[in-house]
Amino acid sequence: MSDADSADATRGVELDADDADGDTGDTYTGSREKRREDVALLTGRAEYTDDHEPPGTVSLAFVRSEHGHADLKEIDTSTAEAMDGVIGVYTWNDLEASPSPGRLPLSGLEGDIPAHPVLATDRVRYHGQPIAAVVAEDRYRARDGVAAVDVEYEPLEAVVDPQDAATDPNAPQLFAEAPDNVATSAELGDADATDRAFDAADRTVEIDLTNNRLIPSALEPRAAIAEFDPDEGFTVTMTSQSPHGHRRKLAHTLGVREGEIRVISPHVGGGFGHKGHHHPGEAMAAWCARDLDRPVKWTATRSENYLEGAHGRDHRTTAALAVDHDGSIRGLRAETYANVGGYGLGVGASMPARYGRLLASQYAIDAIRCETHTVFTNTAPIHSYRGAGRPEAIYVTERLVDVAADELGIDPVELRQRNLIPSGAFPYETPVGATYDSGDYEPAMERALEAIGYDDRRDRSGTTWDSSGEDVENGAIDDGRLRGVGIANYVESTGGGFESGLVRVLPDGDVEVYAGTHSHGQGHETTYAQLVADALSLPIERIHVSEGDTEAIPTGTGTFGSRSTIVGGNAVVTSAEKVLSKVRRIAAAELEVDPERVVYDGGAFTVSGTDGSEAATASARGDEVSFAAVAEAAYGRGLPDDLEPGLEATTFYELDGTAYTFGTHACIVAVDPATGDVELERYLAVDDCGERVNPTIVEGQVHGGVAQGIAQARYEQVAYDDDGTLLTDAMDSYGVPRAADLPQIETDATVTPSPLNELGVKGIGEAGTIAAPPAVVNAVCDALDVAHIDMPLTEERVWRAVSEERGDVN
Amino acid sequence: MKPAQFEQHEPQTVEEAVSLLESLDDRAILSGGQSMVPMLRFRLAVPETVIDINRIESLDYLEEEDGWLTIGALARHADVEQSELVDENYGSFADAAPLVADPQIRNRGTVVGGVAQADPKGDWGSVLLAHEGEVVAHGPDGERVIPAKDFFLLPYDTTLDENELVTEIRVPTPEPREGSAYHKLKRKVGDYAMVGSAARLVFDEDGRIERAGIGLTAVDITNVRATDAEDHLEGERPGSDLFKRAGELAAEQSNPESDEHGDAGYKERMVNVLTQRALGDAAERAGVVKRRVSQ
Ligand SMILES: Cc1cc2nc3c(=O)[nH]c(=O)nc-3n(C[C@H](O)[C@H](O)[C@H](O)COP(=O)(O)OP(=O)(O)OC[C@H]3O[C@@H](n4cnc5c(N)ncnc54)[C@H](O)[C@@H]3O)c2cc1C
Repeated sequence: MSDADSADATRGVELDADDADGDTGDTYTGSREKRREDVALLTGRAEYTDDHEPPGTVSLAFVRSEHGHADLKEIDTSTAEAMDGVIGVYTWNDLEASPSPGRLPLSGLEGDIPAHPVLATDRVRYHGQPIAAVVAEDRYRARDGVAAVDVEYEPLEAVVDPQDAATDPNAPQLFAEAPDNVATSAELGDADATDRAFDAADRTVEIDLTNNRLIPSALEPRAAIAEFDPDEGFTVTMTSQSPHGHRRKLAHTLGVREGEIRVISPHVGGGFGHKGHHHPGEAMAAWCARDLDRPVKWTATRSENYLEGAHGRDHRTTAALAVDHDGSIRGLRAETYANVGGYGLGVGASMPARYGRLLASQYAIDAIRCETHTVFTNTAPIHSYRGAGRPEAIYVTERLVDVAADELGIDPVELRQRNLIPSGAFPYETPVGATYDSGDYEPAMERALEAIGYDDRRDRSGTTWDSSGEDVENGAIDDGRLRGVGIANYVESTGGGFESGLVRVLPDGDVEVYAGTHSHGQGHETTYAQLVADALSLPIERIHVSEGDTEAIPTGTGTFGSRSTIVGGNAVVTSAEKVLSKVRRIAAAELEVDPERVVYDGGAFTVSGTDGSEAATASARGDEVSFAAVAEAAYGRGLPDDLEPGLEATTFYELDGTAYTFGTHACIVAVDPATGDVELERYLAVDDCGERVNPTIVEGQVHGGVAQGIAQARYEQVAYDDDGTLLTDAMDSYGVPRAADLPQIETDATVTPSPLNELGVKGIGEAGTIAAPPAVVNAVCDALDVAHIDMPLTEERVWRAVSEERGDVN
Repeated sequence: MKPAQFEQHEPQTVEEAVSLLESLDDRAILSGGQSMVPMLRFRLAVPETVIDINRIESLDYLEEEDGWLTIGALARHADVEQSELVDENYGSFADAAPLVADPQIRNRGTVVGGVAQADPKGDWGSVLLAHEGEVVAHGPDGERVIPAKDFFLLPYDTTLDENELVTEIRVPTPEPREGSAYHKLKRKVGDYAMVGSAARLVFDEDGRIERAGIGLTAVDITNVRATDAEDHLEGERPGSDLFKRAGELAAEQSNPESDEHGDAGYKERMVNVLTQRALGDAAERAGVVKRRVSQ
C-alpha cells in the first residue's frame, strides 16, 4: 500500500492506536462506553420541552418588530383582543404596571444603558424585537391574534455594521447613554512593549478581516412552559443549558426571589450558547402564567429564533504581526469592533472585550496588544456562541501567520514551528494575561502534518493534483480544480467557574449522581457514570445521573464554555471519593478493624494483613462486606458513634486556573476556478484535551465543532440590509450546511494531562469551531495563492479572488 | 405548522377535481405539498379550501407513450430519480432529479407541482423548456395542451386557467442523435439553484446541430429559454469555441438579480459557465463528441 492508500483506508476512523494509548482494561474511564442517553434520543422516546403540556395550557406568541430601528407610534390590540380564542394581549404598558421590572439582566457596562425590555417600550432597536404578546387557547389562534395586532411605526435610520456605528459621525445613535454607540472599550497587553516590538522587528504584516456573524441553529428551537401556583411559585420547564442560571435571571426579570422559581430542563436538542442566555420568551411565559393563572407555553418558530438571536461573533478586526526575516514573531497588534446588537444581554455586551486573551495562540510572542470596542447596532443581540471569543482570536492569529509566511517566503508550517511555545515552558503566561497550564504542541502538529501528507501537497499547492496526492501527469484525473492545503493551530481555554456535584448512595447500593451542568448533546449521563463507577469501583449500571432540575440539584452553573467534564466531572468524582471514605469507615466497623486495614476491590471490602490481630482473624475467616451491605448499614442502626446516617456528599468544585486544550487541524480543498465552488476533500483534526474519559464522545464533540467551524468558513452568512432588516431569516438563506456538504472528519489525538485537576482532563466542546475556520480559509487562500478572503467563502467571493488573481475580472 | 384555518377536499378523479375547482371560490390545489405547505405555514397562502389531489390514482405515472415521455401529476421527483427509462434516455432529467431539494422532499414533491409552482428557481421548468415540452391541463372544457414556452408568465404565475388542473407534462422521446444535460450551481446540498442551465442538442447525420434547446434557472422572472444561444448553435458543428459563444449569449440574455448568495454579474458569468458545461455533456451524450473540454 502506498502512503496515500493507507491514509485513505483510515478515513473517518480514529487514526491513533486507541488500545495502545488507553490502558483502560479495567476502568470505564478512557473506554468507548456507548452513550446511554442515545436509545431514548434515537427512538424518539426522549421528552423535550414542547412535548410537555400540562392540562389547561395556553399558547403564547409574539408580535415582533418589522423594522430594524423605529419609534412605536401606536399599538392597536383591540381587534386581536376581541378574537375568538384570544385570552390576553400585552404590551410594555402592562409590564410596567405590574410588580415585575420587565427588563432582562445586563451587566458589565458602565453608565445607565437600558437593558432589554421583555416587550418594546417606545422604540424598537432590531428587526424581530418583541413588541406585544398574545396568549390564546392554542398556537393557531395565537398566530391569528398576532396577525391582528396593528403596530404603527415611525422608521428611523439604522446602522448594522459595528465599525460604522462606532466611527461614522453620522451613524444613528441607539442610546443617548452610549456615545458613538460604544458599549465598552477595553485594552489588553502592554502598549509600549508592543510598540517597541514592532519598531524592532524587520517587518510588519497586516490584515483586515471580518469574523462573520453566526446564528445558532440548534435542532430544537427555544421553548418554555411556565406554571404558577400562588403557594409554590413558578415552575418553568424550558430549553436551558443552565437551569440555575435561568432561575437567577428569571428572578431578576420577574422581580421575585430565586426560591420562588423552579426551573426544569428536560432533554435539550442542542444549545451552542443561545439556550444559556435569557430571552424574552421564557420571561413573558412566566409573567403571563401568573397573570392568567394558566400554564403558558411558548415555542419559538425557526424564523423567530433567527430574528431574535442571540447571534454570535460579528467582529471587524485590523491586525498586524511584527516579524523578523527569519520568521521570529515579535509582536501582535489588533483592534476590533465587536457587534453587540440592539441591546446587551447579560454579559454579552462586555464579554467580547476579553476575546484578545487567546491572541497568542500557540506562539511565544514577546508583546501583544489588543483594543476591543463593543458596539450597539440595529441587529439582533449578540452573545456567546460555541467558542465565544476563542474562534475570533485564533482566527486573527492563524490568518496573520499564513499571510506573514507568504510575505516572508517561508512555509507556513515552518513559521509556526519556529515560534511554538516550547514544551518545557509550561505553565506559560502570555502577554495578554492567559496562563496556559500545560501543552506539548510539536507532536500534535507533527501527527497532523504526517497524516495529511503535508510536504508533498504543499509543494503542489495551486495546481491540480487530486486528493490522493497523485500528480496529474501520473495518471490522476485532471478535473481542472485547484488544490490547497491549510493548517491551523489553536488553544482553547476551558473549565471556568464552579460546578456542583452530588453523589448519593441509596440503601440498596445504587448510586444517584446530580450535577449542576446540563447536557444538551454532550453525553454527560455516560461520562459522569463512567467517572463515578470507577471512583466507587461499581458496575456502571448502578450509577444514575440526573441534571436539569433546580429543585433536585445543588446550585450549579451549567453547560457551556467546554466546562462540564472538567468542573462537573471533578465535582462528581470528588463527591464519590468523599462518599467512599465514609463507606470505608462503615465497612471497617462492620469488619471490626481499623479503616486503614480495609481493602476495597470488586465491589466488596475485605481485610488486609495477617499479623495475628483481630484483622487477621477476620481475614482468616474470609470476612467480606459488600458495597450494598455498607449502603444499607449507612441508613440503619448501629453505625459508629462518630458517623451520621446517610451516604451522600456534595462538592462545589472550582479549578485553580484554566485548562488549555490545543491541537492542529489540517485540510485539503479543491476549488473550481470557473465557479468558485470549494470542496473539502479531507479534513483532519488532532486535538489534545488531556485525558479522554470517553474517546468516542470526545470525537463526537470534535465532529460537531468542526462541522460548525466549516459552516462558518464556507456557508453561514447573516445579511441585514441597510434598514436593519434580517434577510437571512431561514436555514436555507442563512446557509446551514447539511451532512452531505461536509467532508469525512478524521480525528486523532495526543494526550497532555492538565496538572490543574486530578482527572487530568481539559474541555473539548468548542475546539472544532476554533480551529476549522482558519484551517479552511488558509487552505483556500493556499489553493488560489491569495492573501485573504473573508468568510464565508461563498462561490462568488472565491470566484472573484481567482479572477482577480488571474487578472480577468469582468 | 401554524396555518390559518381551511377546509380540505380529496377528489378521487380528475373530473371531480375540476368540478370542485369550478364550484369553490377561494381554493388551492395541493399535490406533494412541498411548496404549498410552507406557503400555508407561513400564511403566504390563506385559502378557504385546499383540494388535495393525491387520491387521483390515474395521475400517478411516468412512461413513454406515442413519442412522448409523459409524467403524470402524481409522479414524484423520486420517481424520476429512480427511473431506468429516464436514466438511459433523458440525461437532463436524470441530472436534475437528484439535485432537486433533498430526499424527503423528493419523496413527496411532484414534478408537475414544481412546474405549476412556476418558481423561477425551480429546476423542472428549465428542463421542460430545453426539451420543448408541453403542459397538459384539464378544465371544464376538457383537455388543453400548452407548449412549455407559453406556460410561464411571472414568478408563481402561469397561463393556466383558474379552473384547470395540470394532469401531465411531457417531452418528445429522443431522436437518434440527441443528448441533454442539466447543470446546477447551488450553495449547499438540497438548495434551490443559484443558477441552472438545461441543454438539449439534436444532431443531424452530418454531426451538425439540428435543434438546440437551452432553459435557464433562477436568472429571470421565470424559467427562460436562451433563444439567442439556441439560434447561434443551430446548423453548427459542436466545439468548445461554439459552446463558449453560446454560453456568452445565454449570459447576455439572462437577467439575474443580486442576492445574498451572489451578485448579478457573478450569476451572469455562471450562466455562461454552466451553459457551456451542459452543452458539452449534451453533445457527448449524443455521441457526437468524445470528451468535453476540461474547464
Ligand atoms: C427546502 C426546499 C427545497 C426545494 N428545492 C428545490 C429545488 O432545488 N428545485 C426545485 O425545482 N424545487 C425545489 N423545491 C420545491 C419542490 O420541488 C416542490 O416539490 C415543488 O415545487 C412543488 O411540488 P409539489 O408536488 O410539492 O406541489 P405543491 O406544493 O403541492 O403545490 C405547488 C403549487 O402548484 C400548484 N399545483 C400543484 N399541483 C398542481 C396541478 N396538478 N395542477 C395545478 N396546480 C398544481 C399548487 O396549488 C401550488 O400552488 C424545494 C422545496 C423545499 C421546501
